[in-house]
Amino acid sequence: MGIRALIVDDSAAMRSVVKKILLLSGADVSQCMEASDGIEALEILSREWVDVILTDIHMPGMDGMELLERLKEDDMLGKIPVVLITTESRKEIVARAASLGAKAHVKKPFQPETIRKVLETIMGKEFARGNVTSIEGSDF
Amino acid sequence: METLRALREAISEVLETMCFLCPVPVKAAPPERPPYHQWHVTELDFSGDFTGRMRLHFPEEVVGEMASSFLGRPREELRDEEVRDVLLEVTNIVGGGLLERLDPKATTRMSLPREAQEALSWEPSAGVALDLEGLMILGEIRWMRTGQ
Repeated sequence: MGIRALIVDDSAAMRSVVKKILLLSGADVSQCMEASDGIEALEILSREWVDVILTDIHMPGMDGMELLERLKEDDMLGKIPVVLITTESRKEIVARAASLGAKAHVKKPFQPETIRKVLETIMGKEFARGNVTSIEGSDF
Repeated sequence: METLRALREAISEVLETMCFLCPVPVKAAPPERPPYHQWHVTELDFSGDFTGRMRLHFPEEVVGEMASSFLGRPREELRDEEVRDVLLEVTNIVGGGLLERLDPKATTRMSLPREAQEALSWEPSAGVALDLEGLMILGEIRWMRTGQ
């Protein structure tokens, strides 16, 4: 069974770019779900399990920080690794996101390779080989 | 970093990284917008240590190529809504790059990008121009530093 990813960004263009990067990464990505804000993301997560979440911070509705807070409150959802893909670079914001459980921060604009490498670091070499069986215990 | 240099670099970085385009900085921005057929104008606001607005002008002849490169799909497949979304996201990333260059420690917040209401009064305090194969992309800014 391949990797199931959830991409959260209010820009459909950015969701499309990230999705394409994942699908062309060489990893066994079986499904890329999309949400335009935190509320939509939580709706999807209420019925679907995902292996990784890639989210923007600044979004209308529920932003990425509140999404992180809501994920952290949930025993199960809090285990899903989260990667921030954002224009935000203020250290205190990035540090707060990390304290809420974000595993990595990718600054826009980015090279496709950056996202692939971050996911490989978080999810292990299995990401590149397309053989992810478990994400628990990643030590990024 | 000087404001205009920061704006120029932020625009170039996004076009090069996300759209695979290589604009060439123009030494002096034109006093008036060149008379292309149509312009797409986007903007966003800053508030905090820096308060003001950034506005970007993209000629119609460029936006299709930008969106096509950004999304990795042929221009003829793209809907107007998708092209518009790319311009807004490019604006968002340019705004973030501008802030990061000017004052990464500032507490400045950035609004979501939007299409500009050109009818409203707008008097930029500074502007830059980048040449993309004979077509100009313009960046304008008006702001003041209110924080330390």
